[in-house]
Amino acid sequence: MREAIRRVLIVGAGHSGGAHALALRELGFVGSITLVGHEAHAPYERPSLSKGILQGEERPLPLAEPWRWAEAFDLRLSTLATAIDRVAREVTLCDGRRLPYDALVLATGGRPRSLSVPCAAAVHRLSTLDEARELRGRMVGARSVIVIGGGVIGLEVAASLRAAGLSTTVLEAGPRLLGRNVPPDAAEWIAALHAQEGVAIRTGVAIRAVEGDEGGVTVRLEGGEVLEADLAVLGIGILPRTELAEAAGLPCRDGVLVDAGYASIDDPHVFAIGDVASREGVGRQETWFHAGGSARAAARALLGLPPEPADVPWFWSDQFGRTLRVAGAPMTADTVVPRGAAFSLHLRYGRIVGAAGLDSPRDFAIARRLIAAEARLDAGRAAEPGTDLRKAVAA
Amino acid sequence: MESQGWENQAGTWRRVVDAAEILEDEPLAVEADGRKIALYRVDGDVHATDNVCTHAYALLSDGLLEGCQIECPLHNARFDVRTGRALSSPAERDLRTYPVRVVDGGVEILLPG
Repeated sequence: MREAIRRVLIVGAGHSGGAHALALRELGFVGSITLVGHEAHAPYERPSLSKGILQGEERPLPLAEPWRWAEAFDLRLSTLATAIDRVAREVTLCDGRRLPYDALVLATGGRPRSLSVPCAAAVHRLSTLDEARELRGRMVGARSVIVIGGGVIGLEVAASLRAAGLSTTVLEAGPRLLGRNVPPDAAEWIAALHAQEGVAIRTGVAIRAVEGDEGGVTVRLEGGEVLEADLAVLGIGILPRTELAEAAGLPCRDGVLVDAGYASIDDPHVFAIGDVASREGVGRQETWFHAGGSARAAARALLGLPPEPADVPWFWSDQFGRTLRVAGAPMTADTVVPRGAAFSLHLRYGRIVGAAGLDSPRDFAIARRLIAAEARLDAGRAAEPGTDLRKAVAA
Repeated sequence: MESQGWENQAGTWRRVVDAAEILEDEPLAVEADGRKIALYRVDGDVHATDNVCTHAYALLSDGLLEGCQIECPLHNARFDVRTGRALSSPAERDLRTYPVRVVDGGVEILLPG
């Protein structure tokens, strides 16, 4: 954008929206920054919703101290944006007010995906702090839970509830756990961990209906089997909230389509960041790392600053006191090199493209750097846990 | 004795570990007076900081030390172990550092009070 930007409007006051606002100030932007969010809470980090909050922590990590929002930003909570007028460059809010912008940043995230079969309203979902607190409240006195979905969120919730003493069953439709974003060997480590902690894991399960109310839930499976529990939680992924963007004619395909600087491919005045952004050639990334990284990258692009070198995408998942970390694109590998019992390097044509590990944070940090450098690895040396990974780079 | 000019500061020097136990590239976790402290060796010198990241709960001693920078194992925040300065997001606050001296092969750190 060549003209001066004086007013930035961010729709979505979650992790990414909040991080974007902070990044703009950090980079010296002195114009107005308005954040519009549908939740009642100032921007916070979401990882603790499936862990700390369910284990009794009062609140998640805030993106910034509360006084900072009042001091340097116009933060409007419990507010929905209802329409974008790209010609007038205005956004309409649920109370009818219209906010003009020079740059609009969509950070609307996603909403939990629903089952394609009938599902009772009593089934918990977990995308906001209020939903996490509601589940926490309902855990008191509950003895059993069925978690629908064997992905990262489902398994974290299962681990939290199991640790709280509930009899816990995980139902996964796919043939294995974590099928979308974790390589098979690492998914096995997690399955073994859950089995050891007494979680019942069932894969390849087709659900016919989920019935019930606050008093208890019944899950009916294809084939007639019936499962019952005091609680049920649904965690089968999210759908990007693209309605506003689509209604405004912005190109979307599983997310708002953006370029490398997170600008809409059709409108240089509109950006999309976080879970709702789909980068050309990369796609969507639903991670803590991307929420913050895309927020900062978009802030630089919006202010006309040169991009910083891109970091290797990665995510972590805390379960039963262990931490799974996955970096790069391990699912594209042609060779897997195990390094000890629960760490592996993923190679494609001899170069490292991914890594996964249960704990071993230092090996993981080195692996991330090797992935960024597209290093060629000596598989034999990399397989020895006692050898510094940096010394496994092939000449 | 390797002196770093801390002699006049208030506090108590505590011996925490043999200097030989702190290797380059390998931060070491210690506890003293109920504080979690990380020790690092950079170009031969030993440095001490709080071991808990200022962003979220994680032990920096589990992280990767590159030169004078420690990277938090949880969210990749980086700090300069010599000054405690926060160098990258998500950390916004600097780390507390502690004066260090090596006496008779033992690492001593100056604890307040």
